[in-house]
Amino acid sequence: MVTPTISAKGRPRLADRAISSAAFVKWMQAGFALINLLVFGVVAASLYESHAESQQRAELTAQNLSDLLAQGIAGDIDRIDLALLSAVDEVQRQLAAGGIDGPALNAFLARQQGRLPEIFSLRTTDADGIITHGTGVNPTARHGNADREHFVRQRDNPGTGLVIASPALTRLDQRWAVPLSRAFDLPDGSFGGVVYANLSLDHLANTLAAIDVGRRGSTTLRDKDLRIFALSPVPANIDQVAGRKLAMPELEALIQAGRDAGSYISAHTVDGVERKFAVRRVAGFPLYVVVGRSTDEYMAQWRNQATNTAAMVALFFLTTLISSWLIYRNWKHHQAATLELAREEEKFHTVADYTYDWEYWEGPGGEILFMSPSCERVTGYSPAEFLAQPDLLYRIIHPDDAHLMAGHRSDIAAQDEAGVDFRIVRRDGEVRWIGHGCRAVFGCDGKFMGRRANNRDITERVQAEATVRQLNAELEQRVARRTAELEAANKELEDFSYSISHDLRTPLRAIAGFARILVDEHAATLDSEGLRLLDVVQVNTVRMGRLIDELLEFLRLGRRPMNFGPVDVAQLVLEIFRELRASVPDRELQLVLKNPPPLWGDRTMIRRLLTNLLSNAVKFTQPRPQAVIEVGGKIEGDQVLYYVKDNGVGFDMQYVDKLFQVFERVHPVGQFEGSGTGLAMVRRIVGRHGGRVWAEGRGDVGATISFTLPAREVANDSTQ
Amino acid sequence: MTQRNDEVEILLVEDTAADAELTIRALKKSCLVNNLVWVKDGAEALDFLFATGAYAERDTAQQPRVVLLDLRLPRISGVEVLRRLKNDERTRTIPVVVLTSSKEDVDIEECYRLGVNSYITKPVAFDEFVKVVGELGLYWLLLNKIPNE
Repeated sequence: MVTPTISAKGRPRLADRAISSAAFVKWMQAGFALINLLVFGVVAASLYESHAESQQRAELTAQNLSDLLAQGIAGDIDRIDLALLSAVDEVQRQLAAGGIDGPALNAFLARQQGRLPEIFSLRTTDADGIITHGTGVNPTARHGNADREHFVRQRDNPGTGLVIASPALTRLDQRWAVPLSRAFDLPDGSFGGVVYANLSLDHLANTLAAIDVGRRGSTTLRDKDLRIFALSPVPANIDQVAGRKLAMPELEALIQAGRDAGSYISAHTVDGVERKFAVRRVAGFPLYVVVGRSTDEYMAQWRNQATNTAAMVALFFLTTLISSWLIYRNWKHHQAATLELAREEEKFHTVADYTYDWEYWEGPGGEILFMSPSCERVTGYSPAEFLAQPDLLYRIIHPDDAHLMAGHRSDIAAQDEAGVDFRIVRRDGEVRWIGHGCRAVFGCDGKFMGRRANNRDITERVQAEATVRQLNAELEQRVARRTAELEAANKELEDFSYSISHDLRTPLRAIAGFARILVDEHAATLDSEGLRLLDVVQVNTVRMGRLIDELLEFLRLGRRPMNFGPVDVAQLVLEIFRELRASVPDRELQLVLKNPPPLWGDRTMIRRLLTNLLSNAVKFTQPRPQAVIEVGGKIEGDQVLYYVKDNGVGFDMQYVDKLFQVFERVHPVGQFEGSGTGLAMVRRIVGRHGGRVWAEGRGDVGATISFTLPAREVANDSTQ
Repeated sequence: MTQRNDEVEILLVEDTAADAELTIRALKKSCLVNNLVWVKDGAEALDFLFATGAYAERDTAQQPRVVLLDLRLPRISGVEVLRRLKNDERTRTIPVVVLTSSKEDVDIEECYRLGVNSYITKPVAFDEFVKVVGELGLYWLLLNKIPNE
């Protein structure tokens, strides 16, 4: 939609219309950094949280697992202890009943052992540590167990209760086991030996292995002295490890603190892998289940998540980077387009606003869509006033010229382009002439969009035209007057020549005629002097007749219309010379022709001109025994120069001015024939051809008459 | 060739007495003035030729054999006389010789356009004058035949 523009002043400057590139880049960089920092922050916080959560979960899991194992193992031990207690009771009942019934005890022990798959033997020793009863026992072999921890501790510490010895390779079965023992008393109350069960290390290991702690996890069973009872997974060097104390300061500290449960992270393990450990004391026994999970493993999920997240973040970073770049590029293009558009707009505004003439655009509804600021210069009214009052345009038209605009309005109804001149009354009351022109405007879609008008202050022109018209009228009057005067003068001249022709010749003829009649018819009455005088009369009348003829011819030369054509000057000179020579057969004449160029002129006049010049030359060379007449010419720029030179009597240069005047002679009458019109005629003919004539001469040496004619005319001739 | 005594052979139209006398003398020298009538202006010439005015009694059947006409005449000019003669059936065939002092082209052209039979410029020198007048008289009176009416 078109918005009316009032003046250039109200428009925003081009530079203000687009954000500067630097500012945009700064804002975009800040936005980019902010959004990425935010994402990093959130992701980092989330990872941190999930890291902690993973740790907690791992710890909890380890704790639960250690609880589970501790309970299981406690159950096993309780069941074994129950079996031991039953066996102790049986042994003591038999002893009290008079002695051990070997086969019955063996059966009893075998029965008890059969109920407990986790043990591979349930046996008794005597007070000296000799294995006496149980499955696979040969009493005669007298295998001793006196050095074994489970026996020693029972023997040395009466009333100890259950002893859980450290793992050992059993002598009888050659299997690793954790021996559990209880002492029995002889009927006298003294130490009678121990009942012991070998808890299979394999079983323990299986129990531990049943708990999944991950590929790099570990479960350990230790006693309070940190001796290793069982391990899962079972290391290759289990023989060197089982029953040994392996330092683990964190565990030691925990046990010494008397705590039953806890957790810690440590690398102080059999295989040196860092793990998170959960410790649980097997309830009621000095045994500790230690479940260790490899940090690497339990954090693997988190690490995967973290890696994935990091990848996502990196992707996000990359995406935002590319997006920023794309946005920047797009913005750059947009910016360039905006600037280009703004520049174009500014250009068109400049074109529209800086017109000298008063220009406007009237919409289809008569509303003013544009008013050039120059309207104020022309009308005295501002653009704003025109925009506010569309009828102002017509109000300022001079009342006497309102009909002109009305006529123009009806013109433009039919024509796309139209113009009219009218007067306006300016705000200050001054009347100015306006040259108005307008044309219909159509949009790209062919829709009528009003008219674009141009108003020019043509007051000076109108005034100048009026002046010119007046001057022209005056000039025409003057020309008419002058023409009339000239015509009158010409008429007078014509009448004059006519009159001369008739009226001067008639009396002359009478004088000559009657003088002759006098001579013819009255000669007898006249003496010789009378006859001589009559002869003088006749000669002079004839002479005067010739003078009149020449004068008339001279006058005719000025009035005759020119009849241009090619003239072969050399040929013409030859013809004339031939005629002249015939008229003076007794003289010796020589003609020298020096290539006079042809010319373009009135042949009759040129012939008269050359005749006059040549006959003058013939005339004034009369005293010379050999007359030499030279005729030549050449082209000089835009002129052709001709000359006729003779070796005659010449003339005195002080009389050169008189040479070309009518009836002026530079030689005394009688010396040479002539009326004095010859050179005057030459000058008139040359003048009528647009040329110039002059003479050079020295007394008694000769004369040269030169004349020029325009060469342009000669050039035409060369083609003919 | 038979001639009646009263037959007019030459009508001389000339206002200048001196010229008329010179012309008559010149004709006399060629013996051609048996029946010459001299009128002094154009009006009189027309009266004579059309038998009007002072010449009303004249028999128009008897027309001169040649008219010698000066151009510069009082009242009606020679050119006008020529025009009327040549525009009238009765007088068209009368030979007209213009005898004038004028050498102006406009006169010569006008006269020939109107149908003049000869145009003679009177020379100033009397010898030449006699010669010219004699020759033309001889031609028109003795040699030239006009159609019989």
